[in-house]
Amino acid sequence: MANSVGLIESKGLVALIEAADVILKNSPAKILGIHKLDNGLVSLAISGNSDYVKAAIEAGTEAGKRVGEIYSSAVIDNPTKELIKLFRDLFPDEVVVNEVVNEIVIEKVDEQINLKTDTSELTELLKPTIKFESKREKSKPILVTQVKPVIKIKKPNTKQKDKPELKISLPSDTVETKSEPENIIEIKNDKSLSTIERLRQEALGLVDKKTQVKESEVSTKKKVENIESKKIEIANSDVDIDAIKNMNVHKLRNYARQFPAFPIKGREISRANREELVELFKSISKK
Amino acid sequence: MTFESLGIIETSSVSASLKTLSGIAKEKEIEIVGKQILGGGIVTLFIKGELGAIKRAISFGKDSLDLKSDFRSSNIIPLPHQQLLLKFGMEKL
Repeated sequence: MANSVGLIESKGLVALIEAADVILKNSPAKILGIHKLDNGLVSLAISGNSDYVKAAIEAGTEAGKRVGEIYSSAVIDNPTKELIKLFRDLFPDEVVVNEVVNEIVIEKVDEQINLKTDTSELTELLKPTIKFESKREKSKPILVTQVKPVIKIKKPNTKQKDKPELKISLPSDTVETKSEPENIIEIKNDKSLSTIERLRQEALGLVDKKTQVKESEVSTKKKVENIESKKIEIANSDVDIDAIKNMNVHKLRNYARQFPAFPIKGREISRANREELVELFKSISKK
Repeated sequence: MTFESLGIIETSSVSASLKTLSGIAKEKEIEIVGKQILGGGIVTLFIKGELGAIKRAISFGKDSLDLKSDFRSSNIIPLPHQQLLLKFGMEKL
């Protein structure tokens, strides 16, 4: 780091000694020396890391102001060689000043060495960095691709869910009160939807009443047709007399109810005995 | 184990410093380490000893001064750093 010099000036030794004591106790900065001026002014110089020097001089001035008069304080970052020569004249603690000079020189040399080492080892240093970068480049997109598709899959589902519900629910309110052509639009909308969505809507009760009614009419017509066809089939089909002989009374009654052309109906079947039912079946089968 | 602490008294003239010395002499458990004569008549006295003795000595020194203008300031450092007095050109405590 940058070597810097800090200065405190006070009138009287008390404040300066207090400041020096605080600095010595609380910071690694070195005290270069004390210089006596005329008229009771004394100045103290310290050196060290710029941060340490700044902190030390703040603490020293605060401590000194409690006790005596501190005139001024200053921090000089990266003093030039000429300034250090002046300091050497002002503060006769030569060893410390020489150390400061040596430190600065050593720092510069270290920087040069570092630069040289950087240039010499560039190829060796760059390889691992490139590897790390490649790993990051590989790893990041994989993470992104892992994350994005999930979102892509989720989003369209929600959209498909939301939009049709809105489309259907809005016309349904209008249709119940208003005219027929909107019914047609509805039906078209229904046709455009897929069967799964229709089922969903039916389950949720979203389908309109009129359409349900129409569907129910259609379904009833179909049921009637089915039933008629069944009647014809049953009328045409012969009664299994062998099966009837093995049946219970209850089974015979149920069997009789399946035949629309059975002479007895309703409660008469339930009141009838087994023998009566068998005779009736025989009469049907003969016809 | 007794820790020796440092007391500093600063006066604005040599005669005032002599008055303080006569006041300090009442307390016998302290030792006068040295003096510094700055410019402008400012004289600083350094005393060492136990903390309570130094407090008493400084109070006696203040009392012995007649004028308020003679006394500048005083300070007690209970546990001075080892290099402190070396930096100020005085012997080690």
